[in-house]
Parts: sequence; C-alpha cells; structure tokens
Amino acid sequence: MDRSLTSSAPRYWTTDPFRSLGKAVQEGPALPILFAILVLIVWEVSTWLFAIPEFILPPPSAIWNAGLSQPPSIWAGHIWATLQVVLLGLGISIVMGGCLAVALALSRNVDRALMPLLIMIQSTPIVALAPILIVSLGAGSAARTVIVVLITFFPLVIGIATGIRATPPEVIELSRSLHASTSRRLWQVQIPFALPHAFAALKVAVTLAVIGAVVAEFVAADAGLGYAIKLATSYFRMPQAFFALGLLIAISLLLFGAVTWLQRRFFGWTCSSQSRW
Amino acid sequence: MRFETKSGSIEALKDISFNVAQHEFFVVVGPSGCGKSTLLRMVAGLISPTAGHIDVFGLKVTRPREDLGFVFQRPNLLPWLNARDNILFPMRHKYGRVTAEDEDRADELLALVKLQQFAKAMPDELSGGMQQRIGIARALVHDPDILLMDEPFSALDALTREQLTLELQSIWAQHRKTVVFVTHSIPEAVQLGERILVMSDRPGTVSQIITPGVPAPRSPQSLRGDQLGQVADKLRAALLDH
Repeated sequence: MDRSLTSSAPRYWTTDPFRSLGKAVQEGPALPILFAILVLIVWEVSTWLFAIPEFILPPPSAIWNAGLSQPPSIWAGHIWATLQVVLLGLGISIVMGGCLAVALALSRNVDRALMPLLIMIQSTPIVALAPILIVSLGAGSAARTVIVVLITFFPLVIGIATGIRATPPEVIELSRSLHASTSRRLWQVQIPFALPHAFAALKVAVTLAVIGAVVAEFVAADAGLGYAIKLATSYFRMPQAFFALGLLIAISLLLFGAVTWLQRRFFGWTCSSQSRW
Repeated sequence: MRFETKSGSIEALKDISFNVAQHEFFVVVGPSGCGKSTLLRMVAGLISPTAGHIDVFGLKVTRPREDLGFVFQRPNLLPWLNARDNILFPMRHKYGRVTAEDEDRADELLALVKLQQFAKAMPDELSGGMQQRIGIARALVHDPDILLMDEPFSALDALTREQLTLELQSIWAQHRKTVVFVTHSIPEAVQLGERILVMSDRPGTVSQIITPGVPAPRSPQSLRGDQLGQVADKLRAALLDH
C-alpha cells in the first residue's frame, strides 16, 4: 500500500501535460526556435508598422519570396561555386598547415625561421590582398582558393602546433625510453594529443573560410553567394541580397556542425576531458 | 648534476653515491625540489649526469634504458585508449604491433591491479587511483627488471594512497623487481623501503641511508611497532633537521 503510494506520486507529476510542456521548452531545442520565430514576427510587423522601405530593411516575407522568385538551380549554382572554393581552400590549408605545424613543433629552428613570416601573413588585411592576388592569379577560382587558404592557414598551424607541444613531457619520456622512432612517436602520441586543439582551430577556420571566399567573390567572380550579394545590391534588390546572406550563414553553420559531428563521432574522447567547444 | 638555466647554472645533485641490490625495494625520500626526480631520470638514462656515472647491471647508462618500467607522479594515460590498450601501449609503441602473448600479459596485469572488469573503460571513466594502477600495469607490461617510481601516489587522496601502497607491496612480493621508489612521504618510505636513502636539498646529497630492521614486505600493523616507529622518527628528524 505504502509502496504504491510513493511510486505513483512522481508518475503523476511527470505525466502532467503542463509540466512536460514546460520541460520540453526548457531542455529541448524548442526555446531557441520559439525565440527565433518571435524575432521574425517582430521584424515582419515592425517593417509593416513603421513603413520601412524595402531597400533599407526588407521584411522576412519579402526575403523569402525573393529567394523563391529565382529558380533553385541558380541558387544551387551560387552555393556550389562558394562551397567549392571553401572546401578546396580548407582542404589545402589542413594538409599544408598540418605538415607545417608538425615541422614547427618538432624543430626550434623551423619555428624561429617561419614564425615571423606566418605572423606577417596573418597580419596582412586579406581584403587588401584580394584585388592584388586576383590580378596576379586571374579571376578564376584559383585566386579565390588561395585567399581561403591564406585566411585559414594561421589558426590551423598555431592550433595544431600548440597541440603537439601540449603532449605531456612524461609521455614523451616514456616514448624515448621505449626507443620509438620519431614517426611512430608523432603518429601514436603527439598527433593524437594535438587533436583537441586541432578541432578547436578547425572550428575557427571553417567560419573564416566562408569569410575569405565571400571577400574574394566581392573582388572578382562570376558566380557564388558573395557575387550574388554584390549583384543584388548594385540593383538595390535588398530581399535577394538578404536571401543570399541567409544561405551563407546556413553554409557556415552546416560546416561548423559537420566538424562538431566528426569530432563527437570519431574522436569522442577529445570532447570529454577538454572543453566542449 | 648541473642544469644551465637563464638565471645561471643550478647544481641539482652533488656527490651522490649509492648502490641498489637486485630485487631490492629501495626508497629515496627527501624534501620537494631536492633532485629526487632528476636522480630517477638519470637512472633511466633520460638525462645524463654532468659529472660521474650510473651503472646498471655493471654497464654504464648512456642512453634511455628500455629494460625498466617508469611510473610517473600523474598516471599520464593516453585519453584515446581504453585501460587495456593503455597497458599494451608500450608494446605497440615499441614494436608497432601487439602479439597474443602481450594481450594475455595485459589481462594478467589487469587482474594483478584488480581492474579486470574495467578493461574497456576509458581513462576519464576511471578514478585517480584506478588510473595510477593502470599506470603501474603499463610500467610492468614488458616485464622489466627494474621499476622506477616517481612519487606515484602523491596525487591521490590519503585513503587510496594507503591502499595502493599495500597493493604495490604485494605486487612486489609476487614479482620481485628491483624498485627505486621516490617519495616525500615518511609513512610510505617506512612501509615500503628495504633501505631508505634520505636526501638533503640544494644541492641534493645523500644525508643518510637507513635500513629498517623489519623485513619487507610488511603488514600495515607492523608500522605501529616500536622498530618501525623508531625508523619513522629517525626519518622525520633527518628530513626536518637541516
């Protein structure tokens, strides 16, 4: 009798519809989604209420309609043009940056020789460099890819090199006492220890890559979302420009999400002891 | 032993001379910063002395030795490997692969440190004491003749520490290794040491070598006996004196 009383009491509370709704709002994705919808409604209503002209701030509905007024294949072409440059640039940056980071971390002389140059590249305003590069390399995707590489290179090199150096000295001593070869020490000890740092750097790099691609497209391109924004704004087609902007944000978020998913799925241990982000 | 630093050279160890017998449990005790860890790393061949020499089995140590196991102050497990793979890591790292015998050996060692049911656990799922047990098992995986331990229990809580001290003693009783055990804990030194080297600091020198009359391995009760009580007093006097 006693037992049924104590066990039924909490069950009553968890099936309470108001309580479970409240719980879903608190814990699930419902709260941020509800807030985003609220922001969109306030935006829509205020453009209508204060009669804000479309060329200053278009309402969300106009942005959506402008997006649909163009055939999806056009948007897909722009998305692919940008994504191609972003992914290729990132890929080159990861491979080159990884190799350079290993060299930097293992040799003090390489570090001393290359670090000033790296810092110089990082200090160069990429927006200023873009027109120069496009003159030298042509208006094709090569120049845009180089710009993406330049903007993502530094955080990747620094992140991976820092990670390799963060290997506990005792583990290096263990490796030395086992007379393991340098390459085995690198692959079995130092590179795994660098992974948490490398993933943190990669998350910074993916968003930078999108910025780099768009900057390059502003300077010279015949396709891509940055080009679409430039084209739309030159005709004061603000809703279209905003739609392209929305697609760029979505690409950034998806890339960031993909890196996070990869990390959780295949390198779950890098999330557990280190910081989650 | 001298170290060159930016602020000048530091004499870490000076005029150290001692012998460790085979299968002996040799404890080095001293205040922190007296060069105990440096001494241990020189025995391991990880750093070479600026003057003098170290012989192991009659041969001068000139490079890192592989026939010894090293247990560090922190467990330093590899966070991407489970407990069993961490124990196997030295074999995989040295030879590039592990044999079926190595795997059997890892299972034996898991049993020895009483963590059979945690074979698949990742390091962050283990407590500090469990992690250090895996660290000890890892040091034993290649069946070294010598076990070097650098304050292995100093990062643990008092209770775990006492428990692991007794476990280490029983491991040593089962598999007689030559153990050089560095600590700054007097109870640990008294419990474990067949001979206890007391170091003074800056530069670290041999202050005295104490041989407790009670044969090791010792029961925890014997610590309360007069003989070991006197050893503890002697150690305390020697360490707090200078």
